[in-house]
Amino acid sequence: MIAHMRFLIAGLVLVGASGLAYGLRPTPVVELRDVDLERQIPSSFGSWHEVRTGQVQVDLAPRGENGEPEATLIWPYDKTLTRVYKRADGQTLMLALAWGSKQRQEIKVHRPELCYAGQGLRVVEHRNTPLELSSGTQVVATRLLTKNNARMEPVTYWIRIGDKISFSAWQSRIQILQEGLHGRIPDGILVRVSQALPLEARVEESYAVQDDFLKQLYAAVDTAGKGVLVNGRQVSAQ
Amino acid sequence: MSSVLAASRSEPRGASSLLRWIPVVLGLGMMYVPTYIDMWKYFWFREDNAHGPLIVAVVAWLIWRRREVLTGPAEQTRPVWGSLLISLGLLLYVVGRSQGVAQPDAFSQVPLLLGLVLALQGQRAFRVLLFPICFLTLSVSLPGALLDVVLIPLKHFVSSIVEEILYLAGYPIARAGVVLNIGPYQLLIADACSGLNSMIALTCVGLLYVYMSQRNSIAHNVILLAFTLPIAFVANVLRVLTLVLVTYYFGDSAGHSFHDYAGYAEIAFAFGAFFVLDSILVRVLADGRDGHLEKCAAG
Repeated sequence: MIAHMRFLIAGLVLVGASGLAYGLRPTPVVELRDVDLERQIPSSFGSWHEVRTGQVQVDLAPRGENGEPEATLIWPYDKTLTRVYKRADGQTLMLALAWGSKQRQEIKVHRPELCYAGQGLRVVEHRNTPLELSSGTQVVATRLLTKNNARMEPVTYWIRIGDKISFSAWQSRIQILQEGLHGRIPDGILVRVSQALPLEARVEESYAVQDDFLKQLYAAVDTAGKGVLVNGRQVSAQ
Repeated sequence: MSSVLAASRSEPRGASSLLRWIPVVLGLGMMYVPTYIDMWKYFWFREDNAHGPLIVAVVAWLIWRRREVLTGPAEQTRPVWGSLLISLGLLLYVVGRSQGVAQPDAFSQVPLLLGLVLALQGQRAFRVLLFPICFLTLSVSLPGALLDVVLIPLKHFVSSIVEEILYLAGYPIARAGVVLNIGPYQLLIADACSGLNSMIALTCVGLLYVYMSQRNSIAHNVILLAFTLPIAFVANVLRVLTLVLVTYYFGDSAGHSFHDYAGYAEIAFAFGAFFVLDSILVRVLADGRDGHLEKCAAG
C-alpha cells in the first residue's frame, strides 16, 4: 500500500503542475478594441494622400510551399492595413501595417525578410538605422533592400513587441518570454513602407522619401495612434 | 528506504501492478494533452514535421513492448535522483506551458518520465526505458528561427548537388538559389524537400535501427551510428533528384503527386541502406580477416 501511495502522490504532483502552468498563463495587455488602424491612420496628411491602385503588396505572412497562402498557418494579426500613398511631387509609396493583440512564441508578427524572400525578392542589403520621427521620438528602423530580375523594392520597417522594437526573431521570443513571466502578453505591430522601383533607381533617394512619409505620418496621427505605431504602453494608458 | 522495499516486495505481480500507474497516467494526461494539441496546431500539421507524431507512436510502442519492467515490484528505486529529474521536468513544463514556449514544454516529458520511472519503479526499468524515453526528444519540433539557420544552407547544398549530378548526366538544368529549372519546368526546393526535419526523421530511423538490431559488437553499433547522417543526406539528395526527374519526364502534376509519396520512399531507402550496411557489417565483423577493424575501433 505504501508503494501505491507513492504513485498516488506522484499523480497528484503532476495534476498540480498542470494546474500551476494553467494559472501562470499571462494575460493580454492591450485590448482589441483599442486599435482601429483604418480610423487611426489618416488617408491624407501633409503632402501625402491615399490613392486607389491595383498595386499588390508583398504579403504580411510567408506563403505556403506551392505559393498559395498557407491556409492552416495561424494568422498572427488582428488588424491589418495596406495602402498606397502619393506625395504631391508624384512619389508613390506602399504602407503596410499589421497589428496583433497577442504576441506569443509561435504566433507573432512575421519578419518582412522572410515574406520578401518567399515571394522571390532577394534581400541584398539589411541594416539598422536610427530614425527620428519627431524631436524626442526615435525608433531604430531596419532598411531592407530587395531585388529580383525586374525591379527592386527598398523597404523600411520596424517591429514593435510590447514597448520595445525587436530586431530579430530571437529578440522577439525573449521579449515575449520576459513580458510573459511578468504575467503580460504584449501586443505587436509591423510598420512597413516600401517603394517598387526600377532596378536603376537611387536607393538613398527612396529611403529619404520613406523617412519623409514616416515623419509626416507620425506627426498626423493622434496619441493613441502614436502608441500603436511606436510605443505599446501608451496605448493602454489612453 | 528499507521499509519501502519490504512493502513493495509483498506486492502482487502481474496486470494488477500496472494499475498502480493509473494516477500517474492521469496526471500525465492532464499535463500533456494540451501540449500535444498545441504541437499539432503549430507544428505537426506541416508535412515537414510529420515524423513528430510517428515518433510518439513508436515510443509508446517501445514502452508497451517492455511493459513487464513497469508491472513488477519496485526495486532499487532512486528517490533523490528521481525527484531531481522530476523537478527538472516540472520546471521546464510549467515555464514552457504557461509561456507558450513549445520546446521546453514538449521536452519536459523526457526528464519527467525518466524521473518517474527511477523514483517509482527503480533502476532496472530506468535502464530498459532509457532509450525509448530519450528517443521522444526527436519528436520535439524546433523553432522556425533555429531551423532557418541550418535549413537554408542545407537546401542550397542539396540543390547544388542535384544540379551537378543532372548537369553531368546531360540534362538541361540550371539553378538560381534554391530554384531548379529543368526543361520547361521550374522547381522550388522548399523546406520539406531537403529540410532538416526530414534529416531528423531519417536519423530517427537510423537510431531506431541500431536500437532494434541490438548488435553486441560496439564497433558494429558505432559504425551504424556514424553512417546515420550520411545515409540521411544521400536519401535526401535522391529524393530531390527523383522528384526533378519525375517532373522532367512526366510533367508537373506527376511531380506534385510523387512529392506526397517521396517522403515514404526516402524512409524506405534509408531503412534499406541500413539493412544492407548492417548485413555487410555482420559478415565483415564476424569474418576473422576484419578482426582488426574491431580492434582499431576499440583502440
